[in-house]
Amino acid sequence: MPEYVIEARGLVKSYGETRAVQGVDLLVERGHVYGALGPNGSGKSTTVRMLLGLARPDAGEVKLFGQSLAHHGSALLKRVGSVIEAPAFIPYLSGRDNLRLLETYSPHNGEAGIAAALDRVYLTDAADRRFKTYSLGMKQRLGIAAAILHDPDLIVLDEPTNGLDPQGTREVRALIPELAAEGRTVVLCSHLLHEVEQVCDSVAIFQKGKIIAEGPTAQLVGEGARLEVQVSDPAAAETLLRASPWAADLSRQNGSLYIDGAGAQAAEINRLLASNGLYASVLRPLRHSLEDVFFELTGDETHA
Amino acid sequence: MRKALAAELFKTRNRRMTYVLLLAMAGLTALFYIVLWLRLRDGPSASVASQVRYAGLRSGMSFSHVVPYGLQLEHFFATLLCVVFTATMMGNEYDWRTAGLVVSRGVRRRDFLAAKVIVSVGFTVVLVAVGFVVALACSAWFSHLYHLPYGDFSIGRVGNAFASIGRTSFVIVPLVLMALLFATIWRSAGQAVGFSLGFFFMESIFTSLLDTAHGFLEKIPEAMINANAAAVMTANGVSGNEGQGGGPFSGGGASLPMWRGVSVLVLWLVVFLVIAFWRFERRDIQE
Repeated sequence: MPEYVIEARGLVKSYGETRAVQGVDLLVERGHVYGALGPNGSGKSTTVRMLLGLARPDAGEVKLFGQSLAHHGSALLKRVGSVIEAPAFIPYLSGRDNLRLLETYSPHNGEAGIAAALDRVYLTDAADRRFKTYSLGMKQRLGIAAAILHDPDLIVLDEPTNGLDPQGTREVRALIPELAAEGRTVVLCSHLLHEVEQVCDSVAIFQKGKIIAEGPTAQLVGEGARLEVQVSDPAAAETLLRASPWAADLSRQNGSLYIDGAGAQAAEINRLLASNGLYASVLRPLRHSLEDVFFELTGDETHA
Repeated sequence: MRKALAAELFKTRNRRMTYVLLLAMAGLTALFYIVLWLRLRDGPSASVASQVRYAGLRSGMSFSHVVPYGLQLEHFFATLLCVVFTATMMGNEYDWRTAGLVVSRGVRRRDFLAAKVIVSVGFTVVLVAVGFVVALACSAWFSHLYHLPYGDFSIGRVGNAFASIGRTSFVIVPLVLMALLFATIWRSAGQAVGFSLGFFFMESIFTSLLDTAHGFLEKIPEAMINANAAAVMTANGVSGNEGQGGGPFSGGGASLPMWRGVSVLVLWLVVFLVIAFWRFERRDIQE
């Protein structure tokens, strides 16, 4: 049975008349990189705030590491590192002093831990500059350093590549699987589809305060896969398939036949064609990108 | 709790505003004494009233009267500065979103807030003490300059000085905690400073109007902060109208017994603290 680091059930949160989150259930397995994908205002950040004890749910329950956040909040949150929205630090303190301050609140590895965290995000040279003088990218990196400072089991990163240059973005994206490889669970909130697709094992797609799709990334992008079929006699094959259960999803372009959503049924289709004397020269599932899946699910109502 | 307090002290030590406010306290106290000195230097006019006022002023500025008059003078400045210190200490945590950073790392909310309460109260005492040291220096200089009495240097007098610093700090704390409460409620430093200082200035105006009323309206000022602060401040040694320990335009209060002043102020402290903790524990840190 899988071990869940996050178990959220029936989360509801309203701000006045606005229902920000409407009955969200979330299960995140230990060691996974879990992506929360959705446009601004879709409820993913509010959900994350409830997971971190920053917002109280109107209904529902959050369990971290198998225990109720409402009852053991302080002890459980000590095992969590996070960067929520833009990194938040005291502007008049240096990057190093900001980490010292966090070490004072919850001591862990002292100065050695601070130096290691700064080094890991390539911030050692700027560590003694005041936070307010940092560029946005440096602030993001300091946020990640703070998130990993106390060696947490769960790391929640909300838009961690915001403001980073391409090199910084690449470094952070490389860092996320590294953190997971060390046995940590990572939750990545992002509106960048390719980012989530690149680094996340599982994905939840948020829209209007609900999760509209969830599952392993590979499964999610594979589920809607299209099957491309090339045969010597495409007209005969089309006639045959028009009389099959795949008729509604069939189309023909440039001599190839395409069957939507049939990526996993290649063997059955091949059998049908062969039994009628039509032998496929090409039979391949065309993998969707997460972007395709996202827009297929959310329609044109949102902009990720 | 110990860790939260250590962290709060770390922030306070490294915050420039801490030193700016302490310097402001020293500077304002010195400035006030200098203005009085300039006034004294000109001497009194021929009228009897002017000569009486002049004599009173000289006496008040002497080293022998530094405890009541020095602290009386400080009460006003210290209240302004301590309210600014506390409101920004709490409000900035929301403005910079660092409250969320800390709470999401498992720091108990009550520890976070309690550390702020302790540091605010501690800062109030330090600020009053700094102002008092400046007042001591200025009044010693005046006493030397005008051959005014220094008073005795008994242990009893020193003890009274410390007790008076404590009383002065105590009467400031309700407004300090009011600032903390409103910074917590409104999640903003600016609004908390505005409301608390507005209250500090306006309370005296409204209560002085109510003094002329009859029935229960007449009793309202006795339940407010200024009149009871004045009652406590009389124990510093200033009597009558000189003992106004309340707001900047305060009158009255000196007639109330001290125990009553202490009780009412403690009640206000408890109310502000209970609401602040209750609100901070239950509400969302970030929306």
